[in-house]
Amino acid sequence: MKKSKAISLILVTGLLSCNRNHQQNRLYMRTDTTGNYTAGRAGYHGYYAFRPYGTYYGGSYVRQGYSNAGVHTSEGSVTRGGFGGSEGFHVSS
Amino acid sequence: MAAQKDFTFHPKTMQRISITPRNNWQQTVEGLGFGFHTADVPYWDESAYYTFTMAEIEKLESTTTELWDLCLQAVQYVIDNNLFDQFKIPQFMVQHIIDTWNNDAPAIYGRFDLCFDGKGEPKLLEFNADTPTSLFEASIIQWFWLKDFDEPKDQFNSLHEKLIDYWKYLKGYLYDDTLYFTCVKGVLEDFTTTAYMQDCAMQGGLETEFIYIEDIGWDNENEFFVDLDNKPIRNIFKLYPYEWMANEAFGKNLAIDTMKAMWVEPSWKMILSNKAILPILWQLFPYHKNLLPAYFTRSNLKDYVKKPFLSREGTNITIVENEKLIANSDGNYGAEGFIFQELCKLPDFNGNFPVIGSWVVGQQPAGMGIRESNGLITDNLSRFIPHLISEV
Repeated sequence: MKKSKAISLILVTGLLSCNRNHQQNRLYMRTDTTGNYTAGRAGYHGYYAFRPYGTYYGGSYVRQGYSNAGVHTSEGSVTRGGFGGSEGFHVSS
Repeated sequence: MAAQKDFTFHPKTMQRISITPRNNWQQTVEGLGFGFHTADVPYWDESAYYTFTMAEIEKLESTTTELWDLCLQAVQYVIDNNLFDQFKIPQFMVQHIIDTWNNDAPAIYGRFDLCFDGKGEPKLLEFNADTPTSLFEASIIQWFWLKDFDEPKDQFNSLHEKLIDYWKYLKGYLYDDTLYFTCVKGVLEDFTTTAYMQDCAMQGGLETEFIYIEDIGWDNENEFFVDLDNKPIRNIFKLYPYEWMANEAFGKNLAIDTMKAMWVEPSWKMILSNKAILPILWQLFPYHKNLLPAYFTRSNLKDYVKKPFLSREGTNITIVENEKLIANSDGNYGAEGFIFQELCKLPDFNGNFPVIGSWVVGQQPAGMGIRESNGLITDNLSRFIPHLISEV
C-alpha cells in the first residue's frame, strides 16, 4: 500500500532514538515501489545533546525541544502559560 | 520467527495470529524513536498480529472514504442549523469555526474508530478528528515490524507518504511563514507524535519550529500569539484538544487573534471530534450501513453504549445489554452531556477485543492501526497490535 521508493525519518530518530549517536545519519530506502525499506544514508545530522536541540535539515537548524529555564511568564506586553493547564487529562484519543 | 496460530476464525477472513516477538524488539523500536512502547503494561504488542484479506482492506478503505464524506455533510448541516449549543461549543468559538469552515482552512488528518469482524460492514464507533494519536506507531513502527517479520507481505499503510504529500499540498494554503508544532510538556507520546508530524512537514518542504504549548505567548498589545522570540505565530499544528484550549486562559484569544493564525487541525474539527456528531449522522443518514443508531436520549435502545460528548481513552463509558450493565469506566468527563449509541460488540478473539483505527489524510484513506483490549471498552491500557494483508 506504500507508494514511495524511500521513507526517511529526519527528525524523530535524531531526537528520540535510544540507539542514537550525537550525530546521526539515518535514512530508510525502499528498493522498489512495492518493496520494503532498507537502511541507507542521508545528508543530515541529528542532535539532541544540546539545549536547545533539534536537527539540521536542508542546511538550516530546526529546533525541536529546548530548555525553557530562561522563559518568563510575562515579558512586557507578552503573557505566557495561557494554554496547557488542563492537568489530569491526557490527549490520547 | 515461525508464526503459530492459536485461533482459527475463518480461513478467508480477519484472523488473530499469536507469534513470538522479535529478539530485542524493544531496542529495535527504540531505535526508530518509539520510546513509549511500554508503560505500566505493554502498549506496543507484537506477540500477535492480525491478518486481513485484500477484500477486507478494500472494504475498510471504501468505508473510510464514505464516512469522511458523510462527516463533511454533517458539519455543513450543524453550521447551517446553528447546532453549536447542542454540541456545548462555547459561543465565542462559533464564528471562528464558521470562518475556518468557509475558508477551507487546512486540515490534514483524522482517525475513524471502527467495529469490524471481517465479515459484516464496518461500523463507526467514533471519529477522532482533532487530536488523533497512535499515528507514529501506525505509520512507522508497524511497517518496520512487517519488514522484519514477513517482508514480502503488504500492509494497509500509506500514512507516511500521504502525510508528506499533503503537507506539501497544504503549503500553498498556509501563510507564507513558519509552521509551528506544539504539544504539552512532559508527555513522550505526544512529543513523539508531534515530532513525527513535524518530520513529515519538513519533508514536505515546509519551514518548521517547535514550541511547547505552555510556552506560547500572547501579545496583549497587538493581540496575537507569539513564539519564544516574541515573533507572531501564524501557522501552527497542535496536538492539544480545542475543548481544553477553549476553557483555558488563552481560549478566547483564538477568536480575537489579529493574525488569524491557522491552527491545524482547524476549529471546525470541534464539530466532528464531539460525539454529538454521532446522533447527527444517524439523523441525516438513517440506516446507513456503516453507522450505528445514535441519539441524544436513550430512545428505544435496549443494548447501548452511553458516551460523554468529549471523553478520551474510553473514560466515563457505560455499556448496557438487555437493560443490564455489562461494562463501565470511570473518569472526569460527562459534564457536557452524553449520547447513546446502539451497542456494537467488538469481535472477540480469545478474549482480545480489537478496534480498527482507520486513518484519513487529506481526503483519502491512508492506513490503519489496531488497538486491542481485554474487554469491550478500549481504554488507556489497550495495546497496539500490528497487522498485515494475507493475500492479494
